[in-house]
Amino acid sequence: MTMDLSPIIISLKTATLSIIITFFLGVAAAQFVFRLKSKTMKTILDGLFTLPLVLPPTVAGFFLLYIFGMRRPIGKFLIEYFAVKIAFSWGATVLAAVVISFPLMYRSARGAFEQVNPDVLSAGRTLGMSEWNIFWKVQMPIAWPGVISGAVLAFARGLGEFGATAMIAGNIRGKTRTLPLAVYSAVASGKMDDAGQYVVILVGISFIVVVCMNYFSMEKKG
Amino acid sequence: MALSVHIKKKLKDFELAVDFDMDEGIVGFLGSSGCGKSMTLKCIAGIETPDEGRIVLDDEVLFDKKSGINLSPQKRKVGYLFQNYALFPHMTVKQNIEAGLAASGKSKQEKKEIVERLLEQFHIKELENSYPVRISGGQQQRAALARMMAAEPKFLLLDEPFSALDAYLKEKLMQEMMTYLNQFKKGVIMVSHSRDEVYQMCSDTVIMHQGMIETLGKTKEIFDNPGTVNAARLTGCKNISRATKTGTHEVYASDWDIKLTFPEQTEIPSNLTHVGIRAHEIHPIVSKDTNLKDMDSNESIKLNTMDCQLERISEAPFEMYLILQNKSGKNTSPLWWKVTKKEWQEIGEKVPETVELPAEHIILLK
Repeated sequence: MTMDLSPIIISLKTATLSIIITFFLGVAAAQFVFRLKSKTMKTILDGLFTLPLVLPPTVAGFFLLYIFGMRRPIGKFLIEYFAVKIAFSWGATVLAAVVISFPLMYRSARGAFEQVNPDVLSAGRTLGMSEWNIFWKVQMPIAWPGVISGAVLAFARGLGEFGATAMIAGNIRGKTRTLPLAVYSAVASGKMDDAGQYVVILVGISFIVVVCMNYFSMEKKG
Repeated sequence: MALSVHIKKKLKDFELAVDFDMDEGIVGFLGSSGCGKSMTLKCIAGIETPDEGRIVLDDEVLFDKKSGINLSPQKRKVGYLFQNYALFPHMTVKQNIEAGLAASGKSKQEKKEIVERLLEQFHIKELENSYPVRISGGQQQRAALARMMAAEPKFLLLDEPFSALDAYLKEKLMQEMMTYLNQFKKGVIMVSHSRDEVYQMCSDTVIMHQGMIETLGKTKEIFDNPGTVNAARLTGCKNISRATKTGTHEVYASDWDIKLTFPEQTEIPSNLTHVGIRAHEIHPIVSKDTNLKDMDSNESIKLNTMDCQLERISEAPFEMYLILQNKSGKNTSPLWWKVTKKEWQEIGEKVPETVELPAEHIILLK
């Protein structure tokens, strides 16, 4: 029997789109919290943004279903006005991966921003540089190694996402069955050889990505 | 050219309350670490926001709590030289200077010319493609100065500009900096905890203590007559004793257990709390028969003298410190007497049994 290749395609598509979304969301959230003056607000938001990391993915999945489910106000609204169905569609795999990998991106980026010498940012301001330029031309390049390692972690986490995906996207063959779900399904139906093949592919992709990104961040540094 | 700063800001241990006006020239802010000097600079530059007050530069209001004005640092056009220079580590020297021009709205050609001119002026042309970590502290300082000047500031703030440098470089760079600052011809505030830097570079001095301006005036005058105990310490006065006025022209210095008599023209303030004498102003009286020069002025020698014994000698490269105790044996604090090695040899390297604290060199402090 030939192996079903669709989980590979779905996983790659999901992981790629979700890391792009997670990257910008995570960096934006990190910058927002980094620039907050109030310590209380910082602590509260930080806790909120980190929550998906510490919750079991099924709990995160439960919340996603609760919000985006077809009979829920937001889910209903999206279907009625935009004809967008989230639950049990391919989009749901992306949504699950973004929510679960977001805290890793956010925390790494925020940590990296906090390591940047505040005088260097102040120097940019006294030189008249716009906040936009200070962020993209000074803060981001200096924080880059930390931001990139966060992105690597987030990508790997998104690629391996299982629990929340199963809850909100289901396990529909050729549609929402990502590699981790394919491994589970194969094992569940006793096809250990198929599962093994998916595992090898999953390990391979993860390893290549991590090595590539590490190499890239080292290049940048020195 | 005028800067007017009247601000208050609550800090962790004390309240910063600075009231100060200046015209052009270089003003030195002298104070110990954590006295609020740097915070004052940051408030002027707009990096920190005061709790209340007003900052005006050249008729432009930079900050005014009452009318809700708080210009961003970008709009203030105040140059800031950071203690560690805060160069952009991922940019070359040239790119750093270009960053200072980013907001100028000048044409590409103009920018190029300005960068070239600054690279030449600050002698960093050959370093244009180097990254900040690869160049020395002095070169970093010049690169940071060039970058600051590129933004065409209306006023300069220098935060401990020499503290990150090796001692041997410091002297040379101080002279260099003077040259650049004299070309600038606008107002400059330099913050420092080094009296030497302030004395050599600044026309006016502000003494800061615990967030407050304690004294301000012409540098020379402040060093001659510091007025307060903190100012005396910061200007390098090694010997300070508690003191009480005991007569119209008499003061008792309790830490040294000595009665000091002043000439008639000296006004001794009644709220005097301390007296001081700089270590090099103490005068040795070796012994009557060998000190022929002082034979005819016996009368004056009798005043303000102290019989002393040596506690310790501390030797520096070019001078000696003799730490002397009053022989009276009470719980007194020692006097530091500074003597150059040449003078030390001239008196035969003999510890004097008596020293004089000449009345004209006693600093009266409140």
